Amino acid sequence: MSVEVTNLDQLTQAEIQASEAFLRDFIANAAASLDTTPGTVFDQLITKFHALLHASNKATHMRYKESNSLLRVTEDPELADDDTVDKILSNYLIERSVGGLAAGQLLLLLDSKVFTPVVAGTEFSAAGITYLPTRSFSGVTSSDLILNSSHRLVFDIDAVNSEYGLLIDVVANTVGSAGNVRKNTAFTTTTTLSNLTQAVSAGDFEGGADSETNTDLINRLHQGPSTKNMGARGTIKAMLLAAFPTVSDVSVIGAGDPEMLRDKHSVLGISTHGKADLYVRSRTLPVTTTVTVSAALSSASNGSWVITFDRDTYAGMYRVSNLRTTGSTVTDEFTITAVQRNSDTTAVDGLDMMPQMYDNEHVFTRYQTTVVQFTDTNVTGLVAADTRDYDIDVTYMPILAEVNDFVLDRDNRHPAGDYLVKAPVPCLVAITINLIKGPGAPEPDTEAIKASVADAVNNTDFVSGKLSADVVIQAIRTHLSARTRIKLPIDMRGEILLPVSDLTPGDVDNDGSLWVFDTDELAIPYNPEDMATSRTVSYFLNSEDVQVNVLASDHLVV
Amino acid sequence: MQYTPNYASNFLANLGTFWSVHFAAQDQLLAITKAGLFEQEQAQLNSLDALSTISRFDVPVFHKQLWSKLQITASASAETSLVLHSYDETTNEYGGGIVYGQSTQGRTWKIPVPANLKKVGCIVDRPVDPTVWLVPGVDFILDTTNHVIELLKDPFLQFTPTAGVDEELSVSMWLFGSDMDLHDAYNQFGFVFNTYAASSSDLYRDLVNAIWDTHIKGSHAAAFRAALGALVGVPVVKGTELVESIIERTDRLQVITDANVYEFKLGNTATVAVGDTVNVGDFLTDAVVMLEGQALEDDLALPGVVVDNSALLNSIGAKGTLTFVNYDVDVTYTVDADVHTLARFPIGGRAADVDAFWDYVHVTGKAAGNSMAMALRTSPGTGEPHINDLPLTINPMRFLLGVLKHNAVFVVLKAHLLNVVDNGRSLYMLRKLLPAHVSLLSSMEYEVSDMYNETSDLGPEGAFAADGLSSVMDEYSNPEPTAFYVS
Repeated sequence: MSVEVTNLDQLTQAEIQASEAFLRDFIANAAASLDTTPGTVFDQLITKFHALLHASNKATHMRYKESNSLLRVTEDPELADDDTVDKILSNYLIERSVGGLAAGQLLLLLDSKVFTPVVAGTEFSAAGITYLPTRSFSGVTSSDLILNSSHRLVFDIDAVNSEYGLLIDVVANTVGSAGNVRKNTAFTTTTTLSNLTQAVSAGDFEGGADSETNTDLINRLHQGPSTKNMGARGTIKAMLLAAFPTVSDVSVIGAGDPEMLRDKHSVLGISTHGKADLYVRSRTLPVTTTVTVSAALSSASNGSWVITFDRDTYAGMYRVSNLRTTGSTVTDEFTITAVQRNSDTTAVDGLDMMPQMYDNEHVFTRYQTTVVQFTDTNVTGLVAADTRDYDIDVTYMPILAEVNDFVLDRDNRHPAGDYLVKAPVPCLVAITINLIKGPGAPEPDTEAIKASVADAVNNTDFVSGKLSADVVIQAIRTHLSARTRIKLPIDMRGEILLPVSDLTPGDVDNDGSLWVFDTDELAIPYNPEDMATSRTVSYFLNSEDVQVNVLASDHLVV
Repeated sequence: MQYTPNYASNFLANLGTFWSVHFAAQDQLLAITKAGLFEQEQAQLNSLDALSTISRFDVPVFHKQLWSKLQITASASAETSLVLHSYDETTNEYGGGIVYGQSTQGRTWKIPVPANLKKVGCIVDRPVDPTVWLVPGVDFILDTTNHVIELLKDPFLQFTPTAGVDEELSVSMWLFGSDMDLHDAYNQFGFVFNTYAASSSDLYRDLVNAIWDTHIKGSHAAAFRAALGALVGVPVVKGTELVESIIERTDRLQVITDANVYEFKLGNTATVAVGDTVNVGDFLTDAVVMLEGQALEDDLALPGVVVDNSALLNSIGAKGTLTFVNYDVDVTYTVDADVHTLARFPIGGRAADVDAFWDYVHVTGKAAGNSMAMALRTSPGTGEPHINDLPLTINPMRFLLGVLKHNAVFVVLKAHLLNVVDNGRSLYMLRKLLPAHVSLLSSMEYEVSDMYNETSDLGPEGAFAADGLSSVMDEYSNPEPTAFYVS
């Protein structure tokens, strides 16, 4: 127990010497005939023992005081034992998050359509993380053979070329956000599956979360005493973080903020206030998933097609990409010619409040609908309004609609409270790092570096605002041996997807993207008129978008 | 045994006659006992400190240090010259002890002290039976900005210098009853809401508590007022209290109630009178005026309001700002081709900007089915108003404030009456203390002297220009305020 001094050995020399000095001086002043010189009998028998006891008393009181403060505890390793921290947290009604396991679906690519058992203990690895099936699975060759949830169909991908697929559920065996691998990440396994040719993630993995450090807890401490309501910016954030465990950051833009455009539509054109936009980071990273959609032919003469997403399908989606024929592995088979982000402001079931939105203010909200236009000239025999299925990747922030509807629920909102939940304006970051290996140093663990860098970038919150190279360097440094160094500068770039209604992918003048580059500090340009400032933009970095180049040692032999 | 301050002195007597009369080492025993008791007393103070930190209301602003020894060498003590100005200079005061018409040279000695030393009770040469006793304000000044004690006499002449072998000459001074800033209010509670102050104070503790109150209860007026008061260094009433006296002292104004004494800088004018009942969150002087609701429309005494909304101005192609004046002007009405009544009154600004603004208002109003003329209707009804239902004159500023009043509070601050010290950096916190949909509009009034004062706590476009606080303030104008800006 670190709060009290139970052993005099716990006292520092400074603490003892301070007390000794006071006693020695004081006694010398009070009784000049006494020899209080260090080392004398008096000093050894009286002064030192008094000093020890008084120093112990003072140290105990000081430690008691400081042990009530998570800030001081964190700064002083002597105090930072789990017992002390947990006691402090209990005063704030907060518990340390122990992290979460990443999970997702693994696509096993097979070269023969045969019964394929995958036992529960089979280990698959990616990004330095081991994943296990959530249970034993049996790949069966016909849907008629599926009798329970452990039975999964071995389906055709390209039967002509003997390509088949089997989907199984896997979960990481260690907690951490590093387990949230992206779609199409290659997995390896040491277990022999006779017909297995490759294993890849079928979609982005989710749920992986790191256990909280004391620093994380300090940043979250305010949530404990805060009431959870819409009363003020801080309490709104506390409410959302408490209600939605995957929400990691909230920025409230309200009256007087230049990014608040919705309250400037009065007859007079000035801000009349009364509205707030809540930018909610509902996941560490946006999720990208493949969805099969039905497209409608809009013009047979030029092969123009349209895909429509209603407001409840991947609500507030960021972007669509990689349009292809269903089941095809061809990347970007069809070119998306236009994307229109419209709004659907019909009443939401159970809600009696509809936020007012004009111009681009509905973009990245649960009221956004999306119309995707593309060209596929293979329309032989088709007429307008005929439909065909395609596969398309959708990138979005999950639970946006749920959070919005929660905020506008009568149980939570102000009377007449015109509050609107938005996904953060995304800044999709990519970073390139060059390392110069020290002489005789081990090979850096590039996968671990990528994971740490991504983790550090994704922890850059609205309050921090800027993404400094310092954050990246700190994340890397812990993985490097003493003489291995980071070769500066670090290349950092970000693509900000602006909340605009109509855009043309591929047209640099109208693709809705704003690029930022820097080697020292990635900053969000101040564009409140586009609702894009550091208070509304979140940095997202997937570990796959971190490139680590390890260069040979350039050291002279000494 | 109950501790009493003279316990050490009575110790021998308590032991009995033999010890008090015949024991040869009385002085030594007394010294040891006293020393031990002082250490124990310090430990008790530390213990009380530790207990007080449990409560955010009682967390000590400063740590009390009974004794601390300051040992300085000759080289560490800096001697400086001090010029005492003559009568013919305007800064001296009557009774200042200066011989008229003569300049006087003086000297001070500066001794570095720890940065967290905030107050010294006295300085002595030794803790027992001191022969030198220095009183603050008379013999020395503690300069907490530069972290020095400034002595009016040479310490090497006042205190007994000593030197060991091959050691520089030094003197020891004992500081009694010191206040040390250990940042307990921040370390224990302020950090939770990211509210740091470089120096602790009662006002800082008030600020921390106001922020905590807001988070615990949600935004409420009392906590907002308490936070505002703490930020600008103007105390607010803590409860329902009765004003018992108002006293202007030589260096401050005191408003004394049956529960508290509130102190203000000289120059403040009390806005309450003896016998008044005041309520929690009230401001007691003219340093801060806060207007909400209808009072915002009725009571704001400014010449006008300047609209500086870039989105609006850009959308109408304006090249300047628009001013809504605070006096009655004539309203003119016309009818457009669609038989919509168009209302218009004079607005300050470039003529082209004003025309563009009214065009925007009419187009927007017609599109929304709620035109300006309809907004001005003086009697119930729908549709296009008859001329008899419309006012002939209007006060443009009050009309505008009528639009804003339900989602805004307005604060008028007099810069020269404020006492913004270290809390000023937390002004941004006000943004977090209001409901998100409510704006804070503020007006800062300056005296001309403020503009030349480099140590002025809030610049002419000071921290209140921060986002969410909405407005940039008056300039160079006290006592006549000018317009304020809305976005």
